[in-house]
Amino acid sequence: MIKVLSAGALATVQDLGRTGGLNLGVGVSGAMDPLALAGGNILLRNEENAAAIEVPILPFKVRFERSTVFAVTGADCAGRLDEAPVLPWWAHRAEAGQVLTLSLPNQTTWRASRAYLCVADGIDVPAVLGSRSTQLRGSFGGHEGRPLRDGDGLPTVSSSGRAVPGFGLVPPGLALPLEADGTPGVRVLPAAEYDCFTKSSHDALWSTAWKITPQSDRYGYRLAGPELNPLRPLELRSHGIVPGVIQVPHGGQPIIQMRDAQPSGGYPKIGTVIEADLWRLGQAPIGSNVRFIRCSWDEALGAWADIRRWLANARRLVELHCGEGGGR
Amino acid sequence: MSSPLDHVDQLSVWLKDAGLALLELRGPSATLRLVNDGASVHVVEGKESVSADAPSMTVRAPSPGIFLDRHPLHERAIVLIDANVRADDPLGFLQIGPLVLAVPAPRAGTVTDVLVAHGTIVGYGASLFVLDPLEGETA
Repeated sequence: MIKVLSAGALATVQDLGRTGGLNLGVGVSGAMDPLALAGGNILLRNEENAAAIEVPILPFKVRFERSTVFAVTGADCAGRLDEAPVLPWWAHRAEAGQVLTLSLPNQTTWRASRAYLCVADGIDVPAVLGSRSTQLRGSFGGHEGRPLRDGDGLPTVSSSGRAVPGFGLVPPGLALPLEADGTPGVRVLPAAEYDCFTKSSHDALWSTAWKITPQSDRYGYRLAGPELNPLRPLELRSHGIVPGVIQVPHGGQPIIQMRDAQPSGGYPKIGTVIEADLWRLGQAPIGSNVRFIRCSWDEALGAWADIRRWLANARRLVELHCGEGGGR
Repeated sequence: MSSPLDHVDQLSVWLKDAGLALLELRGPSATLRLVNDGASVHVVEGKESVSADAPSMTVRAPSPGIFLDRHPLHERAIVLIDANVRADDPLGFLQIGPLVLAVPAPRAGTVTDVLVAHGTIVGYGASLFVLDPLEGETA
């Protein structure tokens, strides 16, 4: 078991998400940075989809009630295990009773805001509708369907003994950088109502460094920048939407739907952030800027293949290292 | 079966061709150490001294890779010259693709020299650090 000593705010149990329920009105949830979650699980030789704790607001403090191997991926939060420094993206051993403290993210080498505490064999909360992710809107899944509080005890399964401490992974944020004119970027496909917007709105969409406002969370990111205007007022019936969709409500300031988005909406859609780049957005801090990089369907599929290749290569090298009497 | 000692010349050529810094063969009756210093390959007799009274010891690369003096997310070297380290503390790292391995301190001591620049590709056994063991500490 892991005891939460200081929960910060909005820390949740997440896996890669609850897929297959959008037609029933069940949103996907899941890690805002699925690459950090999958990377942590590869480090610990877990299933790729094992559940971890997503920590968006620091500091955060837990006590390991029994010995285990853990990794903190995502943002580098200057972790400490009791007094000893904890390397980011690194498999560490914790003994029973040791306290892990995560502090404010260091964003000098990689501008990231969310940390993932991954443990050997995953956080063992019950799967609901096929996933251990916390569904905040419906108050189910994860740990009692809610953000963690001080004093919560999170179950861990009896360790399979597969995890080996003492090595790490290069964060994909360093291995797969993406920028436009020095500003972090995400690739975007034009969406159904793209052609309904003015020429100057199109230009602004692709050339603006959009500011991520404080009204941004797991549900969606509200952006600030030049006004995006349709050629004529648009009235749409509600229709299905997915994480990544960029809606433009009245007022012309875009909203990107994120992991806890509701599964339907009626605002016009000017674009969609490709699935392969949602992890970049998931790490973008409030107050930072992001650029939209236009891409084609084929480029979007290619980006997804790049992610799968990075994960497969990391998995292969970790298994090679641990298989050959690893843990040196 | 022939002894590896009969094939030192061939082993030396392979070592040089592969760019490896050290070949160590240990048998029940003999130990062979071939050290490639870049210019030539020569035989070093006996085992590497790790006795407690040795003034300093060389910490070698436990694997080939790209030598990193800091974690990829960090801006400063994890260990500075004259820093005291405990046994098993990471002194530096070796990167192999996405994988990052530690170069652990073999024992407690003081790092007196870093022999390789950050970002250098090194072979197995390359000399990376000079460590003055702490008196009274055993490996």
